Amino acid sequence: MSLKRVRTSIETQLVLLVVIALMALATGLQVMWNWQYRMNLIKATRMRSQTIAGAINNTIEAVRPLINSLEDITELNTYLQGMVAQNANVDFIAVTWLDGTVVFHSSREWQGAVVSALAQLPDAITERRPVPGFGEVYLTARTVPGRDLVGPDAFQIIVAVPVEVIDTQIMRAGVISAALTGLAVLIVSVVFFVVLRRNIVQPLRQLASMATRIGAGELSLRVPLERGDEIGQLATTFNLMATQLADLINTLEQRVMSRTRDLEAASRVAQVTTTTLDLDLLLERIVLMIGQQYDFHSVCVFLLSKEDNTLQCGASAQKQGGGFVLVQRAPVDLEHSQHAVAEAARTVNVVFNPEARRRDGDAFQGSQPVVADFAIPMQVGSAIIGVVYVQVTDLGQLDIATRRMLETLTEQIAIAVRNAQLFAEAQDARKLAEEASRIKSQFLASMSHELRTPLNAILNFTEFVLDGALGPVNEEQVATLAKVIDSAEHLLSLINDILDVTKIEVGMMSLLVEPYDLARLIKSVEASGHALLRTRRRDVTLSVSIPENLPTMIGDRRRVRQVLLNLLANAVKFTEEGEIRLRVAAQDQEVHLVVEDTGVGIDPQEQAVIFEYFRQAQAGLMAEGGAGLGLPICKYLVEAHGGSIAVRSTPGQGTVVEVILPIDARPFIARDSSSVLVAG
Amino acid sequence: MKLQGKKIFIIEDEPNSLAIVSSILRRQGAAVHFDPWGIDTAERILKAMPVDMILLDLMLPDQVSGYDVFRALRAIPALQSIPIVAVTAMDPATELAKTRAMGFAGFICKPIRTRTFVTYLEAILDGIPVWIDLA
Repeated sequence: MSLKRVRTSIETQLVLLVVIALMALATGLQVMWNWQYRMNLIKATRMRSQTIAGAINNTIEAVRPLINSLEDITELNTYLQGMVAQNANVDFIAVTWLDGTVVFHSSREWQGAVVSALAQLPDAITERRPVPGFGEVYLTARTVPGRDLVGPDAFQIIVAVPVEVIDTQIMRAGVISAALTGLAVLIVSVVFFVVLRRNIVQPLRQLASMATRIGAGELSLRVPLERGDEIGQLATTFNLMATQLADLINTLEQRVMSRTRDLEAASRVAQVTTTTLDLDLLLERIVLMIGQQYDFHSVCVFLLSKEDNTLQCGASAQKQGGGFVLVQRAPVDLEHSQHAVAEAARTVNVVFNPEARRRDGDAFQGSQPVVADFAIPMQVGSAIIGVVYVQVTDLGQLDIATRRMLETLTEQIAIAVRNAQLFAEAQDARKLAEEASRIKSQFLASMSHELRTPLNAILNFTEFVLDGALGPVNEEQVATLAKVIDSAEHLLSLINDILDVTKIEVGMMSLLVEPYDLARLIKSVEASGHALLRTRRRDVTLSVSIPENLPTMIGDRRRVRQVLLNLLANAVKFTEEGEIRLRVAAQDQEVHLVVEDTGVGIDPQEQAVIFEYFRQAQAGLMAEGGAGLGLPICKYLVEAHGGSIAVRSTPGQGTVVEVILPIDARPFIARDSSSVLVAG
Repeated sequence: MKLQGKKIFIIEDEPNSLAIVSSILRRQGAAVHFDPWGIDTAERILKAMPVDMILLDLMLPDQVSGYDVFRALRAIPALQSIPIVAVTAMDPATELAKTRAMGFAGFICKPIRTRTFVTYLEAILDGIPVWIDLA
């Protein structure tokens, strides 16, 4: 099934309908009028015919006494002829004797048979009567001779009208009336069309065009039709609708605007809070941004000061002139103030005061009075850290949606404020740590310098004396001075160890990492070992085996040398006789350095603690004294290189210490340590 | 006796150290000039030219650092080719790398010892850098 769209306009439809109705009405009227006209025409014809008949009758009656013979009839004929002529030849008039003999007839067609037939006809005018040999007629009058006249000379007057005569008249009148009716229909139609056009179609078109334009966005347009009729009502309703539409769109636009503003505010606060870590700057940006975004009278962020239980103004922006300025505001007492800010902080709830008036202590210069204020507590977890406070001069600025938005923004602000506070605390802590670190390293540098300087004097001046630079010395003096030098050297090594331990303890032991030649380093260690053995006059063999093609190591040459020297010194210290061997082997990415001796060895229980500070094997204490710092320092240095150190010992048979070092120590050096990394 | 007849300039504020170093050098036959760091040190060195070697303490009075002195001397074209050796009691763990990076001819850690000290200076005069960090 398909619906045909009606394309014909209402105007055409209405005009067609009206024209058709008018034409039907006119046709009906025409038919009725024609009927009436015909009846009236016939009636008038009959009356006239009867009048004629009566007149003829009277004439004949009057003249009859004069008529004595048939010859006289000619006379009568002449007279009647005149009468008929007066009646415009429309009627057929005949006078007959009762026996049917025609005395007079007005027309030659009126034969005797015709007249007889007419005489026989029933006396009914409206009927069309066929007359044999003539046609159809209306018999319009027929006199009845009086009784006294009934005799051989009685006569009868017959008046008839041929159908054609009447029909022609009816036809003519019908044509004229039809023409007039048609004209009337035309005029009425045109008037109707004009009236329809002016009063209905045009207003409707206007409405339609207005609707189109309003639909296109011209919301302020109104249809200018002030009429009492339905179209007027339609226009009024339409205007109302347009107004409501405009209102609706307006409201919608306002909502969109306010939503957009909220989103903007949220994004700006987010931007400020994620990019600003300086607390003062953060707060200033936030209050200015919220003030401008919402056009509030003032925006203030109060921060809780736990020291004196007050809410201190962190930053406050206030409308002044066309813009916002930062102002300072008095602190609010947390416990006792009735201020909304204090209340919000105490109750941990928002405080909305639509009846707010300016309060004491608020120095506002604005001309408009504050009509409402809103305080939102800033929370981090369950702790209050401050309050966001807003004042407005128009209550509408603090509608429920805006208040919700402010609460959301406050959550963000609270987090940002906490972050900024934590950042500031962390910065303070970092500064303190940096200061402490600076003081420590200064102390270490100073200690190193201050301890070595007098040792330099002791060692060298003693040597001067010993060398006889100040005069001859005897053997006893030489032996004594040698002990001074020994003690000073021992003291120097202790000072070096203590400085190292201190560096390790304060996290300032740094490695100077660079490539070095391990074979050369071991040769230098070997030389030192031989020197040590000579000094101690031990009957011990030192054998060192260095394989060909040792790789170039990357690490702190000085510290590796320190480790090997320390291990060798220990071996010398605890080995009275026999052999000390230093073996080196490269394997994969590692180098194994083994110091083996045939000394006193270490108890299994003691093996567990020799790498701890200030612990030394009993044998060591007995033999040489010392602070027990060497091995722990070795362990630290080896491990700092990413290596390991292990000791195996059988008491009475000897000790094996094995150090494993990565060929390249760089991957093992912690980035956050203070290690100095020297490439190349 | 490579130090025989060499002119060595010592910049050292600590009297004992100055006495020890100059005594060792004189015994080796070297000519010793010295000055605790003052405003006219560079002038004195220029007057003493030709100088074969400068020994520089890194810690000097009035917060003056040996590095400042080093830079000041290096800025004088006439002194640019003289080897400057750091002789200091400061921690080699922190200072040695610095002196090497700056272009010192050597670093000798205090306390010094007569025999080794002479050996180190002779090596430096031969153009061999010496980096001594263990006393």
